[in-house]
Amino acid sequence: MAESTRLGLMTYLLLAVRNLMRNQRRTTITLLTMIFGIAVLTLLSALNDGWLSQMKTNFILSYTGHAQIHAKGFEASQNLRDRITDPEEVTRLMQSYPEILGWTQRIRTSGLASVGGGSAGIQIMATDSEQETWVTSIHEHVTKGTWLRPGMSQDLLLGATVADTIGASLGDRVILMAQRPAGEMVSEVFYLRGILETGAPQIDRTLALIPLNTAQVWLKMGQSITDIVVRADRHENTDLVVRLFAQQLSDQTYEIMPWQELDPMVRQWLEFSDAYGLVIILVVVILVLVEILNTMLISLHERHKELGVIVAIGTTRFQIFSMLLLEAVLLIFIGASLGYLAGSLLVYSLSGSGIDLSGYANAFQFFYMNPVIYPDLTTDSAIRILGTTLVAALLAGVYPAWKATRLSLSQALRIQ
Amino acid sequence: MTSIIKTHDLHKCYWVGTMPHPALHGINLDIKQGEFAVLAGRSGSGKSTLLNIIGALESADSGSVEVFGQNILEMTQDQRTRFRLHNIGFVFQAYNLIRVFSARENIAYVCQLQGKSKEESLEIANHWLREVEIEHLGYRRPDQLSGGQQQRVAIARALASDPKIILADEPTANLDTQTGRNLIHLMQDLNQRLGTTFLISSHDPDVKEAASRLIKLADGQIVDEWSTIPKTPTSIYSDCPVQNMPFGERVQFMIKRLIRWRRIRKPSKKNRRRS
Ligand SMILES: Nc1ncnc2c1ncn2[C@@H]1O[C@H](COP(=O)(O)OP(=O)(O)OP(=O)(O)O)[C@@H](O)[C@H]1O
Ligand SMILES: [Mg+2]
Repeated sequence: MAESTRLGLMTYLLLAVRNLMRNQRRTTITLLTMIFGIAVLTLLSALNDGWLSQMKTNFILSYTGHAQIHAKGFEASQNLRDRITDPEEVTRLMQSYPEILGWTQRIRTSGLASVGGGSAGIQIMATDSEQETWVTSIHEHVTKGTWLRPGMSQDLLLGATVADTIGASLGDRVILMAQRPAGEMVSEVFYLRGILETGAPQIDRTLALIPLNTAQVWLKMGQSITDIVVRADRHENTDLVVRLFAQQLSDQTYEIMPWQELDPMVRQWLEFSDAYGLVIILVVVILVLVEILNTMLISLHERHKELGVIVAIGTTRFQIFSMLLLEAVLLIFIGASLGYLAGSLLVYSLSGSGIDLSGYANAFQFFYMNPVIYPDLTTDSAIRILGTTLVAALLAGVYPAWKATRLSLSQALRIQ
Repeated sequence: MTSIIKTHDLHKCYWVGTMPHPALHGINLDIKQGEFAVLAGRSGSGKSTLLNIIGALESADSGSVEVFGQNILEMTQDQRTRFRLHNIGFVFQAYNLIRVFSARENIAYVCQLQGKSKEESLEIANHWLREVEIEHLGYRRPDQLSGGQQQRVAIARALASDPKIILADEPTANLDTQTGRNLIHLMQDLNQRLGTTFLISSHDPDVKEAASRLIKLADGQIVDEWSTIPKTPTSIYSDCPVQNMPFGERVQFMIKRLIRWRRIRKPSKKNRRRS
């Protein structure tokens, strides 16, 4: 009487597998639904992640870097009065952090470009021709002409759209106009040496790139600059780098901004994409949950009498609960694994050529995207997908299993 | 001989909504070790109910049931499960084997529940398959066996847990006469050779003939072997006081009563069974 009832795991497994095989058609349909759902979820997640990482890379590497250090208030005012007068104080820190891959100094200010009859508002960016290449890939976006040449003080590169607007072509004299920190307007002659096409419309539409030394002299800024742009070795180290600088630099003098903060639009898109990922997961999880719940409840109904018998001959309610839960978990485990496998294969087969959305390219370029999306299956999303499915499985398995423990023996055994 | 089962003044009433269905009315029963006892009686007389209560599958409303000196009505659900596993073997009318297990596995399953290893359990299963003379069919699933063969597996399963008593609810009802007779002989043989006590409910004249003791039920009471008249001619509806109504039904009942939607229906005196 004191002995308890015991069952080995193998017996549970055997029962679960055989019960699943009992109605093969139903099990197959349930599995196919799950495989389809999880595969689609995997592919959509991978597309989302690929899209995101592309956007991050494009955004960070084409222009902003991982983090920027400005004089306090510059990002809001965009005024040369808020400038870093002693960049040495910041740049001497760079050597000590291995997480920093490269850095450059820039002057950023708005101005006007004109050639012949045409003129347009521009964003002047003055940078060191060599150091810039350590931080961003903007030099790779020169589609016509050359990158800034060392020692050539009057070289100018324009965004493709700006050049178009004002009708400038390579070799043309272009007059740039800007305001010195003190307020006086000055102009200077440059020669168009290259055209930049980054794919990001706001860059292509406004950028005018000139050598840093020239700008410092022209705008009478001495050694001053407006931006120190830092590139970390990995996207994930952005926050670390920001923290390192924040520890060393006074927040009264400087503002240190990670790339997400430099463009509110990008931040919004990142948040949207997170929300979108969540919605997909939710939809799929609900689908899987309902499917499993349905399957388990039907099979429970069919086995009502048999479960009564199993309890009658000495199986405890806890054992019944475990049996049915195991069945649901097994079903989900198989479905989720196969679904994930199918999804990964799909991702893999698409990762070579990508999905070409160039038909909608105009809309997408706006978000620093390439027209071709390369799906990217990250460990994070794998864990998210499989984790949530498992939780869903438990939820969907617990209810029927619990229901089975509540069955009335007298009724179950009287069913003929 | 020692008593194995003792019931005292056992009452049981089923409720369908607020309608009482009396099933047992003051059962006093004493089954001795080694008996081959048969419960007879018309359909609805309470045979299955009595077997289920003795087998700790259902509870009673009042009275006591002692099996091997233990009052099973006072046990918790898990205690009852353990009690059934170690003391009682069940044989049902519809065989009720586990469909996904082979005959051998069906028998071994109860041994595994008792904590025996798989190998030992299968050994025991083989032994009982031999005892019920179908050792060559051990690997078949229930749906590959005839009714008589399935019932033999069920008997083997009931015996495999080494129970002190086997409760069989109309074990021959689904079988043809000859197969039924063979099965009865098998059970009688097991009863005589192994000393296992049998309590069998049945309409089958062959089963009654085989009985070492015949207990007749009518309207939830034990009646004289030659008579179908209840000894106490009082209404058995007195077994169904409203207090015994399950909680859920009772709440429903109270609400209905409160809004005078429907009154409890008591049977009129004319409808009572009298001799
Ligand atoms: N779950 C239940 N709910 C309501 N009433 C029930 C329930 N089970 C049995 N009864 C009633 O209890 C009474 C006794 O039923 P029981 O099954 O014990 O009869 P029986 O003697 O086994 O009949 P049979 O020979 O047909 O199997 C019957 O009137 C039946 O309608
Ligand atoms: Mg019956």
